Amino acid sequence: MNAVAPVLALQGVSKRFGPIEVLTGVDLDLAGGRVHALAGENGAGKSTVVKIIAGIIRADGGTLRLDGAPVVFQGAADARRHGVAVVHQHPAVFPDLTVAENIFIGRQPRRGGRIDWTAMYATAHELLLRLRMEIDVRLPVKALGIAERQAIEIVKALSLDARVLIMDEPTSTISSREVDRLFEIVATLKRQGVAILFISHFIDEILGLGDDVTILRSGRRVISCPAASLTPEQTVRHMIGADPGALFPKAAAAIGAPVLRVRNLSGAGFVEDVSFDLGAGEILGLFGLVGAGRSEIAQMLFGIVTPDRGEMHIAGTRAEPRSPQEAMRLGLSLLPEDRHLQGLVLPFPIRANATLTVLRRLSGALGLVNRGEENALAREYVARMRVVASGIEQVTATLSGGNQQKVLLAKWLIPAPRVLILDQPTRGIDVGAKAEIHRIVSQLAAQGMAIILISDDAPEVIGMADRILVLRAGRLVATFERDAVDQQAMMLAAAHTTWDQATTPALQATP
Amino acid sequence: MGVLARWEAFLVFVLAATLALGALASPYFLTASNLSIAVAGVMPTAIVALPMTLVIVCGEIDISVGSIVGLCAASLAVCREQGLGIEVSMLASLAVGMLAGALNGAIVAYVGLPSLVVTIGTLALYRGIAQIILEERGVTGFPDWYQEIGFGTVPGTPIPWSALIFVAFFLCFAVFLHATHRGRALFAIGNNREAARFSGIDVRRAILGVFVASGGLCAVAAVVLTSYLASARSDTATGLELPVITAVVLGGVSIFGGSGTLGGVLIAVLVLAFVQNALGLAGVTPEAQQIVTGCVLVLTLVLFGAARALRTAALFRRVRAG
Ligand SMILES: Nc1ncnc2c1ncn2[C@@H]1O[C@H](COP(=O)(O)OP(=O)(O)OP(=O)(O)O)[C@@H](O)[C@H]1O
Ligand SMILES: [Mg+2]
Repeated sequence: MNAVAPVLALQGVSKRFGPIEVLTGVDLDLAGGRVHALAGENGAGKSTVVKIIAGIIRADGGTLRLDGAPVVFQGAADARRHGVAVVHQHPAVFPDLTVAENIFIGRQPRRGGRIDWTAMYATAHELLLRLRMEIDVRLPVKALGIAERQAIEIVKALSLDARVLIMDEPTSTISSREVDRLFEIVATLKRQGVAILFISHFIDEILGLGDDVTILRSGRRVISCPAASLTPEQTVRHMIGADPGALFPKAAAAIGAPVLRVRNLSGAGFVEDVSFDLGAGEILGLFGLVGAGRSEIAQMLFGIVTPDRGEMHIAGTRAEPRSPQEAMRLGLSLLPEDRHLQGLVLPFPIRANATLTVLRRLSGALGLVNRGEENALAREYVARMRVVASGIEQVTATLSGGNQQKVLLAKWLIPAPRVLILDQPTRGIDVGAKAEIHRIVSQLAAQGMAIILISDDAPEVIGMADRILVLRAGRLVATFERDAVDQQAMMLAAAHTTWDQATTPALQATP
Repeated sequence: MGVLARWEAFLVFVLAATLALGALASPYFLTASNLSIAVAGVMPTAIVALPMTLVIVCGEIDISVGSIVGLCAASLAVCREQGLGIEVSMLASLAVGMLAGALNGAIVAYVGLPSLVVTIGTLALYRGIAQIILEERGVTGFPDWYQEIGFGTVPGTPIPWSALIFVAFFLCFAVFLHATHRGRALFAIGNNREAARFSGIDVRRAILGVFVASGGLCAVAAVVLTSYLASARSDTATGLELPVITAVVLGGVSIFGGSGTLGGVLIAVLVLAFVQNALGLAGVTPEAQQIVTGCVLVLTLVLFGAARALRTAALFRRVRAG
């Protein structure tokens, strides 16, 4: 496929977990100066490939070759010594250490035998600016949102001057502005001859950024070819083995009486005077950059953060939830953006995660959980969300990222709320499942559920929402009706900050 | 779950080995009356281990249990000195225990201080109060039926009354922890407190609850222990936290919270009881007994814990790498 000898190559790699074979004879070549995009459905085995390269898990068969010689890395540090940097799908951060320490962990700049803090902070700040992320590098990482944590992971890998860069869904948690910057950086690295493996569920990223594309299905390679020879439709067909359902199938639903009424909501440090109404059957999109205040609004509505000011009415009655349990009693559900920190109890089986929100309801006298009902409910939703798993008792931690997300969705759909707040619901979800989730959400709206959709994925918001509110630095700056939405204008409204004006001459919208 | 099941199987094996070795050490060991004595001796530890399991599953710890038992015993004694009936005195001591637990729980859950620090503080506080109210006095003169609780057996059987009390509480706690939604919530809290909160679990109330349970069962242990010793003193159960926490951890409950079963704790308690008893029969002095018990514990934990730690580390790495 390319004349150059690959820098890193997988040959006939297989892996099984118990009885389940998750990779079968996978070949993959990474050449210097080329981006290799790896695609496939949730659970296809992409992250398993990454973990085998990084030495986190061991392949059962096959070989990994670096410059033609077989190697086995003993974990991230060893891989790094061989010039291989890895961005994992779920960044492993040290929550109590600062941003800078996380970036330089194990290789802090030193002066006279002691850590040179000044240099470390300065370099970390600079590295983050390359991604156009302005983060206080002295903050402990636990104070940051998931996008910022992802950025740290990316920046850490970029700063290693690696010959091979592996990135597992680096774009699923950061917003379009950072994605643009990441792609510029990737282009530079490419020119410098770095071999890059890139995993994404976005077809335009796979075909736009990738020089070569490999698609996995159920752990087997279905195709490996130059990106130029694939159309988006072919790509999707190779991934899911069938024609995809339509994305964003928002059915026209009659929008009923306002269910949720928010007035002058302020708090969480920077959210100011946010007001809106949400009708039954309506899908309201909240759009904005990372840090615009979307998740903060969601968390104030759900009783996690207490607002400083403002009013909230549900079905005409004043509501002031001070805790998630109160919010849930008022008929709210919030699917949080961080599936590992806020969403799932990873060591629990799928069943226990899915039913955690309704366990009380599934319990009879004395609080005894009705296991029969619990199992039935979990099974129903696992099937509905098409979770790829060995059964409802599989430990959630061992699911692929996208399948964990589906469990999280099940968990918040099961309570059948009146108002459903979705914070990045399709993050890391493959095209096929995404269409399915869009169909489910649209159906729920048609049945009268009021839905708030927060997403970094502009086409998703535009496709699904009846109305879009654009937020910038904690304020509502624009509203678009469904028929009058213009992606360019929406992105501009979201990004038009003074900081941007000062540092970026022109703003590109994603294609 | 798999690991835990194997851990419990391992404990059953250790228990069987203990019984076998005990039988070898002394022909008297496997007699009904000896086993009955061994079991009765460990019941206060076993009773307190029940709520301690809940506390540890939540990712917290209660170091003050020994002192709460002491405070409850002292309260009981003072009530008796004031001429109150034994029933009323027992109720008063229960109230004191629950109050002491509630104070621990309120500080941990609502002020947000680490339970290790808080309960080390109240360990000194509660023992101090016990000593002030009772000083060095030992109160005796309990009714006959009360004396029976600690040492007596169900007529016609070798079963100690205290074991019956324990079994009743064990069943309640086991059902609560493993079969109710509140029990499930404790596991969720111990594994991922933030996700538990986002799921609508009242984390603070749950934590307050387990500490109140801890205080309450300390009062029950105080009643049993006072009866066992036939005297209520302010230094009752000094150092009880150590065997209790040892039993819970040996029972396979993760000290970091989020996993474990009460079945495992039950077997661990029995292992502790029989090891100590067998050593006593073999003529090992109490000091040397402690050394042997300590060695057995450390060895078991190292032997099996190493395997488990490796497994956990592997899972953890996988979890973190996604
Ligand atoms: N430790 C494990 N035990 C059992 N099964 C596992 C384990 N780790 C991974 N799997 C299974 O391997 C399969 C492949 O997972 P992988 O994470 O590689 O998928 P992926 O292609 O990265 O998916 P996604 O797009 O959702 O991130 C999944 O079905 C997953 O459940
Ligand atoms: Mg993955």
